[in-house]
Amino acid sequence: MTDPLLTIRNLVIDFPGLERTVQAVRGVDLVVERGEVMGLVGESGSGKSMTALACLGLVPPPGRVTGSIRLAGEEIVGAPEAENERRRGKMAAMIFQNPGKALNPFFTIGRQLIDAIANVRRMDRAAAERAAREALSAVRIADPDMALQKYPHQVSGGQLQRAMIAMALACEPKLLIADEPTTALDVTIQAQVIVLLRDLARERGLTVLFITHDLGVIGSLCDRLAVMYAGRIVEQGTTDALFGHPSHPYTANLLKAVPMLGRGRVALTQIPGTVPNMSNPPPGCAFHPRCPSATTVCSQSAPPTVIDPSGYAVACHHPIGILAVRHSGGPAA
Amino acid sequence: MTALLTVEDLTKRFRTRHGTVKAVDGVSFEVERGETVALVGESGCGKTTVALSLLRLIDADGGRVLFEGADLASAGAQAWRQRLSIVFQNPYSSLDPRMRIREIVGEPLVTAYGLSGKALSERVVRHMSEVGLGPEHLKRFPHEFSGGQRQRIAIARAIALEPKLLILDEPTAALDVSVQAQVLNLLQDLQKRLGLSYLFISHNLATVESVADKVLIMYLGRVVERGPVADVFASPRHPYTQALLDSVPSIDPSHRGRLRPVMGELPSTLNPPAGCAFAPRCARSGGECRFSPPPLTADGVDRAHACLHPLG
Repeated sequence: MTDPLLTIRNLVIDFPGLERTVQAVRGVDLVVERGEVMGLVGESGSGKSMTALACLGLVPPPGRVTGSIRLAGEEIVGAPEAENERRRGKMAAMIFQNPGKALNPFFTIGRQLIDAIANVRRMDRAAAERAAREALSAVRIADPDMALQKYPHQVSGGQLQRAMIAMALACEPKLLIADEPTTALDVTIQAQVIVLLRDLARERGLTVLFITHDLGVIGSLCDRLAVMYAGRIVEQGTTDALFGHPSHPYTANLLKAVPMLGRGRVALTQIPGTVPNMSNPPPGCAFHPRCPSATTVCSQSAPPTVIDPSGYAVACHHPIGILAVRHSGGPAA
Repeated sequence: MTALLTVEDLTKRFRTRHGTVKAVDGVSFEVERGETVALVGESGCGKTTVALSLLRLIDADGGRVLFEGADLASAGAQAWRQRLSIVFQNPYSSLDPRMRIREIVGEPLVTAYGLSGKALSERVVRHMSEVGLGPEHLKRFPHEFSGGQRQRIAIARAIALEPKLLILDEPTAALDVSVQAQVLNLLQDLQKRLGLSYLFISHNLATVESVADKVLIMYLGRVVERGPVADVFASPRHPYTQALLDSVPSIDPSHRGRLRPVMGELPSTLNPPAGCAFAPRCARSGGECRFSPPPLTADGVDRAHACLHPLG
């Protein structure tokens, strides 16, 4: 078996402040294999976007990053900025939630696409323009020549996000990081972009790290997912296993708390309390103040991550469902 | 008995430098006592313009709005807003950061009734407790609260004048996923206890299904389908309703890969198609769809659709 494309080990990201230090990421272990679409789910402040930015060496100051991120065999954490800059676009490219803010309003889409491609792939402008046109048709923009001449404000949000995907793909990165790329889009346009990403991943064997707070989007796109809460991964496994039989009470309750089409008019399971403040996260398991199964041990020690032979991982003192059986050495389903 | 709220042929145009936008084009519906009517559509469909017209935060160009049979135009704005109120999407921008919670929730009571002193603080405490917040919060400022708590405060302010109808404009869209259920359940609970009616504006069909009795689907300023939520979602008649339902990603493994997005994008509101606005994206459309917008036609109990080639 070849090495995984991305291996994150014990990633810790702190933002020291005058009074308090914000602990954005508190020990993340994550592996993304070549050719898979991996989901990273979490609420605001869970550390999912910081984890993604760290993969590109883009954690803003005064953030302190420790641990290890190996991307295609190269270490990102602690590497000189010049090296990380060379890797961006080529090794890993990123698309963001708001494509309108990711592009410069003063230049045409074409100018920005061609600049990026010429720079990353060391091409002359004519070759870069051809690559840009190809990339725009690959993301199913009907008239690439027209799109190249437009300014960002002249096209819709869905078209802009397609252009961003085109820009990322034209640089031929090994890893595509997508940070909530469909959140700002309308429902029907979101569906188009999800299907586009799914098809591109399949056709090109693209490796994708897809970050979102929307469980439904994960369900229709990702092979595997990791659930983050308060700077840690609490559960990780294949999408079918995790949605079918969640083992962490946070995931299990979240799945019942979110309205899902087809369930009819039902009372939603309520998760009490609120997302923790990361300058002062709860001790032990950060979810314990909101958890129905919490006991004394949960407030005293952080639960270790238990991984079963299939690779399913959960960090909970009292896991529920199938993994509880696996936990005690019983047969796995 | 007359409906609580009757909207007849509501129309709103915005004149811009580039032309006139028909944001709302002949929208009619009713809201009965104690029921939740959802107004669903994508950006630019006019759902928020409907809400703002009902509150008279903008003036409609045409149509009538009746509250318990009485015309909106004859009532003063003040009296009107005692009957219906609104909770906005983003509690980070809808609460004044310089006001204490006591002032935020008390302001409508001061303006409408001139309450002060003990009478005022008693009312504020009552409305705070109705949304599950204790009196210890009264002296705090909005920044000291989480998003879910801020939305509770916004709800307390909205019910302070004891309105009969609340307009909820995407009330959970800006909240963390794990907190949305708290607010949705609170709203359902308040509805039962206070006998409120809701006009629930949303683009999230799953949320609509979990809270609403009836649904109106809007596209480019017009209602294209309406009916009881369960019926409309189970057997949509308008192809746009079907397209919306097919666009909702699901966590259900058996639904994976079943996302069937409709082609194309919303047409420009400055230059909408002559006929059915959805026709350019619609697989069922024919030449006759391109002449004039199809009227909303009744079809079964409480249901109507505006389509020449309905499904089902």
